[in-house]
Amino acid sequence: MFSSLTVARPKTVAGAALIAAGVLAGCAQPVDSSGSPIDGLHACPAAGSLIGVFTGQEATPSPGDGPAVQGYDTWALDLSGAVRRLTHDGLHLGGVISPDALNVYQLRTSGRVQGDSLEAPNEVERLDVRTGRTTTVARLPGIVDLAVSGDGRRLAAAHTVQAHPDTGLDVNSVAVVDLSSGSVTELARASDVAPDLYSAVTQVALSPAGDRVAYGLAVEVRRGVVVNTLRIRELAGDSDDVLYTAQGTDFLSDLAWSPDGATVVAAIRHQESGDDVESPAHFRTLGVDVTAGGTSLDEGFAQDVSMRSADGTTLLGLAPASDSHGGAHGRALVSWDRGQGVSRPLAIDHGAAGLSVASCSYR
Amino acid sequence: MPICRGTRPARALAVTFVLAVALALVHPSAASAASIRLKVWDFNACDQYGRNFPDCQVTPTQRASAITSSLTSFSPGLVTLQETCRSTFDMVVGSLPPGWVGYFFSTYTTTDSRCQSVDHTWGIALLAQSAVLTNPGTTLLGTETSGEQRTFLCADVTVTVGMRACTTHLTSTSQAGAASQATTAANLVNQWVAANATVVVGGDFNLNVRQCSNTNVATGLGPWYSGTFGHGKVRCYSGTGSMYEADHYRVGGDGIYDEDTLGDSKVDYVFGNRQHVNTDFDGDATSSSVSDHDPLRGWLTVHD
Repeated sequence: MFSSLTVARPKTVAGAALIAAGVLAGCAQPVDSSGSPIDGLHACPAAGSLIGVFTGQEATPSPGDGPAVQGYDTWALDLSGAVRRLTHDGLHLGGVISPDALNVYQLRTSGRVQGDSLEAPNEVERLDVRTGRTTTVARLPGIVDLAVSGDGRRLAAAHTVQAHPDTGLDVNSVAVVDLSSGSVTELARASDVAPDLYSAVTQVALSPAGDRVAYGLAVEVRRGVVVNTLRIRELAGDSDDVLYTAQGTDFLSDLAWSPDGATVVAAIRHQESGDDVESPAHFRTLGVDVTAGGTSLDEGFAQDVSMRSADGTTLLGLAPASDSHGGAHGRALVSWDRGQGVSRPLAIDHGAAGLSVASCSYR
Repeated sequence: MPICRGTRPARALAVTFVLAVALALVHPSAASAASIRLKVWDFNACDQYGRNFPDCQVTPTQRASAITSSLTSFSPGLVTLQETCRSTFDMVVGSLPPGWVGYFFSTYTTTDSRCQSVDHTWGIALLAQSAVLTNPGTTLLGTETSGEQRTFLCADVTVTVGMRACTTHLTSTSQAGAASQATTAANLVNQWVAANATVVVGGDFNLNVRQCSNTNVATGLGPWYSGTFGHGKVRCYSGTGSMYEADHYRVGGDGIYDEDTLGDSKVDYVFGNRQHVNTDFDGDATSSSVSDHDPLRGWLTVHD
């Protein structure tokens, strides 16, 4: 069983994380539980069997396309564990489900290919899951991540405000969208990062009331050295609380804010010394007590995380799994309690990423 | 204290050794011919952090560390990389011990944050365990709508044997386009082959040789392969080229050929020309947790 490490002051976590890594490295593997990852979840009122969404990929239908060409769509996760496609144009690169499971906010790309990948989405759509009707919520350039507040009233999008490809000094930020008024509030660049350094917001989460933003920031402090931090900022403020600094080559691969507002959870993509490209992926789960400021670092099981309990103790994620042709590129849904073992995997595949589960299914 | 003492068998061995040396001196040309069991590591690194590839969601820093570890453990003589950030390439080069040389060519300047660096250049690269890398050259094979330049990058290196080492990443959006680009590159290679050069090429051709009856595979890869090829042992195409592909079927091979490198497709290749490569070639596509492509390990016995 992995042990947790709790420290009192968030800004001293860097050293503590090193200690934790050492502790974790020596721990035995957790004992898997036999339950399904969606055991105990229930249907949401008026939402049918829908409890969550993810982004899936499928080969494009055009026979002239190369084998690398894929289309991306929003997929539904049902209470039974079944999955089904919600969009069919191959242009949806991310999405989150509202707390009541009645709306899906999804990211749409232009479809233009730029350097062998699709252009970053520049449009946030709202998909009414009861009618299937789609409307545009906001247009923002270069969106890389999206979050919805626990009250369902605000969205936060990590995106590129202005790009300077000639110098690389992109200005990446977070935009918070008020869903009732449509107004957009742009957070200023982190004040503690020198303006001549490259920085990028990589992940974002919103507090239940939408008044605070947790985000991951990567800063290239010098050539070849990138520091990844977890930060929280008051929407009305202009400075960050730096809660965690990833060690070594580790980075934050996903963020979620618990519905009770007390905990921010981050998935950490961890790299062991000597890991090569053929090594399996390693994960950690970081828990941050937003009120008291303590953090815990436990074994993780997935690159993406979504809450499945109001206090953020129990999580859902998409874990690497074997695929249909014997490779290691499949996906499975797993559930775990922080500091505990992992559930039996539920195969999802379709290149699933970006899991989002409605809080109405567990509250 | 003596470690060993001379015995009659030892003296007989010594006499045999002297005779062997003498024979070698009588035939100096045989003694000077260089040969090496060249290990080639081809990898589409998918440096696409933050983009739309779920299997590629690793930062350049972590990817560079993983690549360096792979190079350290496999110790290839030649490395061919595609879809790599300049920043990733620089971190790899900076982590390798003396004796390595490398060359990066930018095929595209990104406008997103995939490279996590002030340096937004992204493209293809060569690395070799060679004293020098000389005469780098590029040939433009095609230009994407985005401005990305499909390029054939080559340089001269000496990994015991002097060779022209090349890499490329052909278009993914059109198989017909990839076939045309592959043909252009093959014509260039054939000029060097005709001049008796040793040519080794690793790259992502975006043509799936596991699929039979595909006109684009036939026209694009036919000018590369020597003899029949395609779909492992089935070999449903006829090649007109001079190259052995490391993971191509051969009599006496390991029984696994044309292993998939991207999903269930084989789009990544390691070629060496038969005039300077023996028929004991071998290949193995392994697996990766940092890319949607599997690395392709190739073994070629290369000689002058």
